[in-house]
Amino acid sequence: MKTKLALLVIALFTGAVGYGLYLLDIGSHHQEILWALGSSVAFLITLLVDVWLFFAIAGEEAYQWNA
Amino acid sequence: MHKLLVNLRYFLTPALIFLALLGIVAGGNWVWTGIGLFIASIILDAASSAMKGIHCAPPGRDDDGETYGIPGLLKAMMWVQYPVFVCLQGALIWRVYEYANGVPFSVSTYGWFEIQHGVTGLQLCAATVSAAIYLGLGIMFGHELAHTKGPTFVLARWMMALSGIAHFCYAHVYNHHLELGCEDDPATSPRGRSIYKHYLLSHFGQSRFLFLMEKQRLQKLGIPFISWQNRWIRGYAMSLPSIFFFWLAGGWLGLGVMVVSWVISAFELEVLNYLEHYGLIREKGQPIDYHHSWDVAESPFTQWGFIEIGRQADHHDRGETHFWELEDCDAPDTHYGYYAMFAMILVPPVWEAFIKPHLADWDENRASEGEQKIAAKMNYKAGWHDMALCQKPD
Repeated sequence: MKTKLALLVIALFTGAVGYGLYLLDIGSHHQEILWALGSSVAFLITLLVDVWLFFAIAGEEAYQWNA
Repeated sequence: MHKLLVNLRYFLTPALIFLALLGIVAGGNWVWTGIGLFIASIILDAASSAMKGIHCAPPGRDDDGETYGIPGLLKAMMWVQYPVFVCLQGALIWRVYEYANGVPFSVSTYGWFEIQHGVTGLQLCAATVSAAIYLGLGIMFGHELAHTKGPTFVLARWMMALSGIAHFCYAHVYNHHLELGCEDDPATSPRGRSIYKHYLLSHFGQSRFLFLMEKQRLQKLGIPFISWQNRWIRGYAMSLPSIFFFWLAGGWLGLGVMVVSWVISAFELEVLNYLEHYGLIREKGQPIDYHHSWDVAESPFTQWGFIEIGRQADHHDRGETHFWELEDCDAPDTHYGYYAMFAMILVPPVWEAFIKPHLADWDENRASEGEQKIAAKMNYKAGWHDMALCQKPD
């Protein structure tokens, strides 16, 4: 259950960040080196936060075999 | 001659990777090369596995006790894979650029080699899958190098970072190799879990291991978690060049292609973890033994193509041993290769029907008393009530 919640939160967070970046119109500047570098760092940070969100929400439960 | 042939067999996958790369560079319908080779590999592996009794002997040693493997050649073969993978990803990025910018269709000829410029949407999809498949298969070289120390370990991290999974190198050596066969190892799949669920949990689980390891280590050193010395953060940062070039080449489309490529490559890594230990059980605190790994010694295509990674039992016994020095062990073996089993696990009911008799045999003939008790509960939990050992957990 916590795993599914974690995935939902990740999807919402990623969607929100993606929409924010879309509103900033970063897609129109992707071939400009500095814009591209800044955008890439933003994507990388989003990935790190996504992975951390999974750890924080899913916790230990996801890995227990309960045997 | 024998020595040369023994070494040449490990060039099977590098050759396939190179052909997949050439296919993407050549363009047009050649971009399907990687997918075609992969399907052919599944068929060949299934066919050679089905011909029972073809035992794949380890490289072996000469009369003086020296290994037939040529260390310099085989190490160089693994190191060279990194620039090849960079070229493979670079070729895909180039095709993304062509598609995103509507580069017109034309042909250039360089001697006998013809390059078709411009790419259709379908061809871009094929190029993405082809590149991802072979970047994913390349993980076996990253795995081998992850068991070394110094610059070659760092090289393994860079190899994995091309698919966003640099955390694997630490998690594999310091978690999987120490905790295999129980819930402390996210890379071991319990009975009844599908590859799709395992992909998710094992991927996040291994990353979580390094996250927690670094949290503890940096705390002891009095260094903040968000720091350049954090190897969890650094591992993801190693993927920044890939993110940057995909984005630069194709914007949102490029990012999407990269995500698809990462998902396929990381999925292949988890397929290997899944197949190597699926359903096998070890009591916590008990030593790791040969019977905690599945070997694939009866499949030459897998042993050659996967640089003897199928000698899992010996690999877990002697993790620092080079692949060309691994030996046959008395380990459980399904008698099918990784390519053939890959096709089975994609359809979980087919996989369960295949693996349950092997696990029933393991429960009866190889498991310790303590492992049998756990197996009985795991069988119940998996819904396998037809297994000889089956007991409701307390």
